[in-house]
Amino acid sequence: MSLARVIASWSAKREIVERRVLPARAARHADWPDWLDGRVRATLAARGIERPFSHQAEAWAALRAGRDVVVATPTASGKSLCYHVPVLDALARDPAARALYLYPTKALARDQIEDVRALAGGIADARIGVAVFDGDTPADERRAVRGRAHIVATNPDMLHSGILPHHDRWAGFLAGLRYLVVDELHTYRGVFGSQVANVLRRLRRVAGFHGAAPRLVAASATIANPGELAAGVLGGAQPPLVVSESGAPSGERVFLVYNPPVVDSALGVRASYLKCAERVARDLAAAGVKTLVFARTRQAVEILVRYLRDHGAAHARGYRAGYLPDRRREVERSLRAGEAPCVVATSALELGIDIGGLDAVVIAGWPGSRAATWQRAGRAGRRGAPSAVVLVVSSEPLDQYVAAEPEYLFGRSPEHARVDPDNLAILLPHIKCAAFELPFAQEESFGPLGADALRAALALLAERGVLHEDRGRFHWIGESYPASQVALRGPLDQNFVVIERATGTVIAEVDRPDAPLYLHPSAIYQLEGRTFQVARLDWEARKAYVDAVDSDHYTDAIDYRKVRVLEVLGEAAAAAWGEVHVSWKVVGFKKIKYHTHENIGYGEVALPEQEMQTRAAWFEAQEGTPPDVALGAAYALHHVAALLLMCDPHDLARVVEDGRRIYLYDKYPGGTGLCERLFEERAQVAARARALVAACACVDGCPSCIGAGRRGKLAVAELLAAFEQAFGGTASALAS
Amino acid sequence: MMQEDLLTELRRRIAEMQRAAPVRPQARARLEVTLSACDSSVPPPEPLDPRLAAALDADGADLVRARIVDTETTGLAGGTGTLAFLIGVGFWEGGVLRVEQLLLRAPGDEAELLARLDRLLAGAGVLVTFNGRSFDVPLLRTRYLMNRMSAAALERPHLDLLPPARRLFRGRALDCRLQTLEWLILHRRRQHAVDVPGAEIPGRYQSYLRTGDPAGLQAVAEHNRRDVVSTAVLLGDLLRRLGQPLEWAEDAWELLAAAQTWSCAGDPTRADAALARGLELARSPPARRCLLRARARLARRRGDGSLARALWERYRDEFPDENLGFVETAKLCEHKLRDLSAALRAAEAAPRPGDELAHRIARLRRRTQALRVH
Repeated sequence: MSLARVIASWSAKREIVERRVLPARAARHADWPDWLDGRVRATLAARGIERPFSHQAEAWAALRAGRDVVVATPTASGKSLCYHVPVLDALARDPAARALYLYPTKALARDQIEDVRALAGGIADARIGVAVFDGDTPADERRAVRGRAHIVATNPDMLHSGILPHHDRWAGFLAGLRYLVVDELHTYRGVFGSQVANVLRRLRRVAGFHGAAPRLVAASATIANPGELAAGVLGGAQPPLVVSESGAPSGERVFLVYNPPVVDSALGVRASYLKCAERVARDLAAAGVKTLVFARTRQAVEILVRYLRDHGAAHARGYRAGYLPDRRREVERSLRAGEAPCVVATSALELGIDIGGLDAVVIAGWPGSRAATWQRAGRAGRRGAPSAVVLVVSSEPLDQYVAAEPEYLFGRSPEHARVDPDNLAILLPHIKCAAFELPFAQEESFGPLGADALRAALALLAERGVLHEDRGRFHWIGESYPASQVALRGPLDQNFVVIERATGTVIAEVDRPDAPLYLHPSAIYQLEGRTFQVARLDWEARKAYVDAVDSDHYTDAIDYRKVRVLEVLGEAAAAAWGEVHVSWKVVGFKKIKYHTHENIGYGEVALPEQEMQTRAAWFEAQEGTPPDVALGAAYALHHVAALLLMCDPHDLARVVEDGRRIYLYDKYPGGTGLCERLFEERAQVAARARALVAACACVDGCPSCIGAGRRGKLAVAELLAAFEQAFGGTASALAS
Repeated sequence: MMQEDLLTELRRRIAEMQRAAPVRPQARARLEVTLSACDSSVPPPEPLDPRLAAALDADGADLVRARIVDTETTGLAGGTGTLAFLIGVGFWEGGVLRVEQLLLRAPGDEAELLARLDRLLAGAGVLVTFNGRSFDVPLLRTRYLMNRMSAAALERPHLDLLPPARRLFRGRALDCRLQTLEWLILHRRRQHAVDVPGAEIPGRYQSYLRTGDPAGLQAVAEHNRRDVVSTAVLLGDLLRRLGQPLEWAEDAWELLAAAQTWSCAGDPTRADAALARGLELARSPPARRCLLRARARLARRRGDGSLARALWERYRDEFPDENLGFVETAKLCEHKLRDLSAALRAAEAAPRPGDELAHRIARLRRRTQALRVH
């Protein structure tokens, strides 16, 4: 049965609340540029590429003309050739030429480099060395990588603390640096993106010292503002050229929104979205349609795999972070080879891992943003054949909102990604690192940071005694190694390993922040349809010992979060900011029965509290404010604050205590300067939040204003207006 | 942040800091640091046997034109931002050890400092350092690169005294820091009241740069001069212990170290003499274990099978709980002395069973039976 027949078989389903057909797009090709090295062209021809797509040729021409480029075409449009081709062309001609590939994670670098290696290996008479340089590269191989590799793949953390402070050892490599490739640019947003932007400013400086001026080329998923983000992160003198018009063909794509049926009309209870997603995926897999299911959490991946297998789809596979690399490679390979008709994955497969095209994508649960939805949907479709995307929404308010108002997804552009590399709390540590790498000369600028601002920053650091000014040049004279004191993404703690007691083997890994959720004693740990129970969690050694069990339920941890003020650093009417202590702890768990999702029991756990010291700004509502109104206001303030501070909403967290004190805190330990500015700009934040709520086109509350599932826009707008007035703004124009 | 806001904010913070810390005197006191000194108590080293130089990883070293180098740096972490702000260079001139010290008066003078270092190192026959292979020399090489200068001055034989010192003194429970060796081996004592602890050195240079007052550097210069002189003394001392171990070595481990060096230098006769003497001195089981092994292996390499056998048998008798003596005796009897039944006896007597041993015994049994059949 074909894909079309499966979709037709669903046509009578009332659960399908929206059906959109995204028309097929024909391929637009371009001619091979005449400058392209014949051997590179032959390598591409050997891969079956007869002519480039228009967007590829556009990117190549711009790079050739000396511009930085950001490619923001959809998933699977041949983005990577936009940079592989000019890189290989340069390397094939010039044995001294070098290229650096930057991936957001170690795992992705190791995944992607295989593709580069295969391409490079196919080029006749050019021995192009390709290597990964990261924390896992053994010490004795590092020298060989520096000396012999033409293409080096690394991650921002390694570039920051392992390469730049020791750039003398990289003199040969950096002198030949022609291209810096920044893949998955959209992941560099908010605080992390601002950090990476500064690392790239440092790289440009150091490359300049060795006589190189590399071209930067970035690839981004679909976001609203790829050009703006690339300009901020890449930091070149001239804004990068945005290549967003894909010339790759795409087949007709049917996009369905599936809302699980109401099973109890009195209570409005809907059927489980996981069961519905499983049913949809099973129909597709049974018809031989190559299907990828995206689940929101690792837990959901495991539940779906189990359900699929229980219902006869024995070949269903799971894919998520925490699987050991060999298992992941195995699943990727079977996807490419078409052996696994159905794979269930988290966003781990959203990034650029090569798995070929798929006939259908099932998205189980709203992924949280339009950008992420389109990124996942982009996995569907191969070689211009028709494909389908089914979004199965959950009963959560945000999901239900999308089901009720599909224009929220289809009618608006994907979200913006923002960075603020000149945030002083982020900028100053990088200026220290840069001074360690090379003294600052008199007329220097630092990326787009002008000479005046840079001189002021240098003077401040000299005043603090870590830099020394000598005849107009600023030298690092501190004793420490500044890069070791800057963590680009907050503390990256060691993972926990999951060990099966009977065999003593490591079966999976879990990130430290998630460990209490999934590995508390008595937790059911799920792995590709099998269940294990945690017998013991060794917190110090970062190990969880589990036993294989045949469990009829899984577990869902209950956590609890508290903010305590340590020191008030600034205070005003109804607002303050300062040092806070945030504690977080898993206190118990629910047992949830498979298939029926009945809650069949509770358990208590005693785990160490996770804590963090950071900075927060907080706002005090009048006594008697209904908690729901405070929550709605917190939601609006949070999103407006992220917008105004040019950070990502995920860089901040919000907690409402006693129903009326709204905390917004910095998720990076120690804080990154966001909350001080939030406090200073509180009047504007409150005014914009009020305007947002007042102007929102929704009836009475939506995810764009006060959060999904909440009602009472007017009360929230009144509270925000009260804040605005207390903060010294002009709340006169309160919209009615 | 908008650039104007950023500038305003930075200026506000600078003003705040300047208010908090009053303006300091900018006038610089004259830099009165002793930077050149002579020491007639340290005699020049004897010429170095070229084979020994090669064994010490300093092929072609000419000690007559030795330059002893020691640096004081702004940090220990390395990387391109760590400066060598004081470089001490020692050399013998007319039988007297002279120490010249180069001070980086301001970070911008580095190129000039390195040019002066070039002149001091010109014609050097060998660089002598203590831990210079992993610290001082790579750091100086980075400094030359950062100033876009050739590091040719460093490209010559390099005798780092740390590795031989570690080998020689492994029998004594001491950390191999220069100051420890100075005290326990060379019996030269530093006055702790005067000497500046290494950890304080970077801070003293920072405060000199900040205040312009060089007073705190006097002690650093003295510390550095002292390190250069101690390295010079240690050079003569180590070479005596390694070169004439029968006269100078103080314990069995030193004899072992000397023997290893001579063995590496291609003089097995001297190596064997040192080991023989070492075995006369050695009492502790770990030392006897190492010496017996080393001498037995050396004997075997020199083709003296019966001496090797006698040594392995001694090993076997002294360490009857270990397989090694039995197995090595068996190997020697099987392959070198062609005495299969002795080999089998030795193997069968080994105390700890194991796959490899079982294999050996089985093979030896087959071979002895085959012999009987023929």
